[in-house]
Amino acid sequence: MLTHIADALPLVLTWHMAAVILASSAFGLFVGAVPGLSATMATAMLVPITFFMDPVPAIAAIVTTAAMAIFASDIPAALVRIPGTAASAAYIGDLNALMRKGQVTRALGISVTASAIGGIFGSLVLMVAAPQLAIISLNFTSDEYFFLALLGLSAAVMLGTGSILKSLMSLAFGLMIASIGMDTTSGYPRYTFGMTSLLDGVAFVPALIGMFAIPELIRTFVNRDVVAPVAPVGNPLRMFTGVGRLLWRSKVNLLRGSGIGTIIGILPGAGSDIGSWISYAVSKRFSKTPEEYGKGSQTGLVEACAANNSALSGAYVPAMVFGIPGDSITAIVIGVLYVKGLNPGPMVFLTSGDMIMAIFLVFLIANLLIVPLGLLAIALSSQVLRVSKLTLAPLILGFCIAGSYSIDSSASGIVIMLVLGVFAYLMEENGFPVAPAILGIVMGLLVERNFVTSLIKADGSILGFFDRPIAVGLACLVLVVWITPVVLWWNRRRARVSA
Amino acid sequence: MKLHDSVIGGLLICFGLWVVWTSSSFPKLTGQPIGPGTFPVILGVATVLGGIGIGVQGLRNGGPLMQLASGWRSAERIASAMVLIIGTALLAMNFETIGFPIGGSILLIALFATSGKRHPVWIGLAVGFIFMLHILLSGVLQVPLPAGPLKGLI
Repeated sequence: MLTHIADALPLVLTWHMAAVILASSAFGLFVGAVPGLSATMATAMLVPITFFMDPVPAIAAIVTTAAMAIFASDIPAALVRIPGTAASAAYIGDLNALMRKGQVTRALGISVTASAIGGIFGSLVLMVAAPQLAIISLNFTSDEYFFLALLGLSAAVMLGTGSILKSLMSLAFGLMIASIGMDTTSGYPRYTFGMTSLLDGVAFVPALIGMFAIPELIRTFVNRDVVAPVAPVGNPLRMFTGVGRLLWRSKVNLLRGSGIGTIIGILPGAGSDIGSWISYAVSKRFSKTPEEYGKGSQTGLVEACAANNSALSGAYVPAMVFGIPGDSITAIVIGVLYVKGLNPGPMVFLTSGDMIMAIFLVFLIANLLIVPLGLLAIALSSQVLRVSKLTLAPLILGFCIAGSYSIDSSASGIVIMLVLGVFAYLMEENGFPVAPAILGIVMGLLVERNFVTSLIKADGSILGFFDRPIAVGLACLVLVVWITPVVLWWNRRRARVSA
Repeated sequence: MKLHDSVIGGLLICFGLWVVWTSSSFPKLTGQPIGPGTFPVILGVATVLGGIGIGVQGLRNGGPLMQLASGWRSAERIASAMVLIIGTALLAMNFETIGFPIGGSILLIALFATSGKRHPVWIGLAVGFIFMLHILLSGVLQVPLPAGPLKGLI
């Protein structure tokens, strides 16, 4: 690992990388601080630009943008009670209660410091765990990969919010989109309707931009939310007064939040929002003062903020080692890695170990930068929060159109963006989450290829999938993920009937 | 626009059946019982089953067949959304001819106008932003965005 770090340092410590990291930090902080614009949307908007960059700066831009946006979403949560991303929603009550008590500066100080520490913890785990897992996974065959992919997709469906059935249908839709174009095994064209532009399949980047950005833009134009009044921030330099003492007193919370966040992040399909909610719930469960939670609990804030950013790093473990996204942002990263020829999987650690380590080092740098840049963002937040989404929406559309076109210099990219975007809007309006569909689009090829390979190896017999012990273990894990919600539902039903 | 779950269930069943029917006609791999249609058939069957589940849930729950969010009852807001969707579609169809600087500017000006931002400052912002984006992407990042009638000028 030390050799890889030594090789990676020259790739990271350049003026070009410094400029990329600073520019994407500013972009991430801005998007994260505007209520309603998500970290995923910021990442999706960045993809067309990364397309024209070298692999390491491209991924560095995405990593930095996401880390900054996740932290910055705490700013509108604290000042106008609108979470910038779903990850901040878990502890919005505490942020707002602290604001009402006149302690908004302290709340943001806790958020910025805990986010940075959680992020650094997750990055270190990523740097140590990912290469070890990669060595183990070198022995994996199509059977193990199929069950791993299935585990990721199942976790995304089961751990998401809302109806499991609708999440499942959303996933099936994504997998169907991925099956459009020439079949990789036989070369047979599927669902192309005679259009040559579809032979290579549905372009991933326009699909992604459309499904994340267009529904948000339609909602912005139709709902026209008013800009909420912004609470005064006070002197940002006093933000850290007393925070060190609080963090020392809450060191167990800090460590537990970082640990839970990292583990949740590593689980395929679960991201920082789920990490934040679970960590907050665990913190409340073990607290001596659970009644304070939701009313300005500073320890709850420490734990959930640390979980937020550590989950973001953890999600890169399955993404890098198996090519299975941990959340929507890593789904985008996997797409970019494929475009850059850095196909994620265990082999990438052998063939491009220096580049992978350089990406991991960027994680550390981005999380360290959260403190100084976060301070600046908080100081400027009262101005940023006065920008209405309605003003930004047309500009974002301009960006999306240019980005969708630029991937293969074809207007078909704009059409894909628009059609899938409108469809995603209708899906969300009807309670179908979009994230499983995105995971389906990203992982469709991986799932189908390994499924078909395993079936061919076993002469069409499904029993051939269970010949190897690791595959059997993974299949059991998939079963656990499938059965758990059914058992929980059955228990709830029984409790209702007996009541 | 929120459709009743029974309607959605019906649509999913139809879609799933269409996928199964289409995929079943795909050829098999030589000497194998499977082919390019195997995976889509599984997805189609799953969609039919999911459609039945959602449809049955919908029938149990009741409620109106279709509901519109309050924003969709305002003519001005519908105009904004339609400019976004139809305007982008028209721009995509004529992208090479009209070019990004002119087409993009017109679309953004129309969006600002339907959002109630009709002051000349917004026209300036729309044109300035699109031209800046065009110069940044085509000049700095070498993205071949079409300039349309302005080819050779910017």
